[in-house]
Amino acid sequence: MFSDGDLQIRPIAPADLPLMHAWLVDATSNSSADSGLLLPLTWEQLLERLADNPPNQDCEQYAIAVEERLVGHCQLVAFDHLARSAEAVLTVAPAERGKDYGHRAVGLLVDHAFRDRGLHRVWTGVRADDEDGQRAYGAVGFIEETREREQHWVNGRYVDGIRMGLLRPEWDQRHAAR
Amino acid sequence: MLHGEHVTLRPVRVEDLHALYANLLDPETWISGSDKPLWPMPFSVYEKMCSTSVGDDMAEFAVEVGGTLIGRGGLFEIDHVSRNASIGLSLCAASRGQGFGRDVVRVLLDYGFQKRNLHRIYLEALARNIAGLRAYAASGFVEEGRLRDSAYLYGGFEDLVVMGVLRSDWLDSRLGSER
Repeated sequence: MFSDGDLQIRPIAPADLPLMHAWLVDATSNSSADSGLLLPLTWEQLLERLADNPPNQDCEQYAIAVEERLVGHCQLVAFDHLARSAEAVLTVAPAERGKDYGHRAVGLLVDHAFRDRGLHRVWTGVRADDEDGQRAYGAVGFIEETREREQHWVNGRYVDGIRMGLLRPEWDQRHAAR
Repeated sequence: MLHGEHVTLRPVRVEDLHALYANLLDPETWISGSDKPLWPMPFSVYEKMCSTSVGDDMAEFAVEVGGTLIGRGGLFEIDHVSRNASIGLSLCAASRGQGFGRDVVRVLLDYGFQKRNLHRIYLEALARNIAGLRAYAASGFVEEGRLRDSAYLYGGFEDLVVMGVLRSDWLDSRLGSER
């Protein structure tokens, strides 16, 4: 749907689901978005959950693919139609980390958010221990705005929450420079 | 049910709803308690919202002073794993500026940490709400950052200030007040 060289973000297809389920129940792939809570979600429960939350315009879900290979999942959620903002969520498969895919996928997501959806602000929440996540968003221009002390219980200890934001004027500037 | 220096916090009753609804529609009250737009919410919607908004992830109270209802306040979005919650209150215009808000916050912090075994309580407030921010700071909240342009009101974007108080902050302040 949107692409940057060999990487594209596109709608999720039924064939993507088994791999996405495997990430969900893999203790090492817990995304920063949930607070590290690992649920033994069965395949049937995942399908039920998807059926209960059908995709809509206020919950944009994308598969991230590199040359047809599924490498992650990204979303635009929590649309605020008054303040014209939305939250970006990113999951990169454990085996595909460290290859700059997150940064490129978030770049596509953000371009779409400002260019097509006319948003004023895109923000995200990352955990303080998720350095890959902070780097991916930082590389697109997101700025750290808060450090919420001990917000998340992760693997037996408290970790700070960080929220990062990117405003339209900042995106305009980076876009013009490209 | 819960008592502060001046205020009493008790369950919301059906007969409170009309007064709370009128209070909610006051533009100043709306702004102090919400970053969503003021809209002509019908009473039936408000009633339904109140009846469905009860669960183990929130604890909302009616606030009384001397037997008179002055608003509502509570803990919301209770996360049972990370043991945190957001705090919110909405007091009617006539009751402001008398320290009741600070009193409610103190009661809710005691409730959250003592009775609900929370680790952290947090809030987001409009940057223009200087009096509110000062009151929260005096109650032990620490500013943790600003979400830039996160709200839209009066024709422009405005920052939301994030504040939080940890159990350890609260214990320290209690020890301080007992000295």
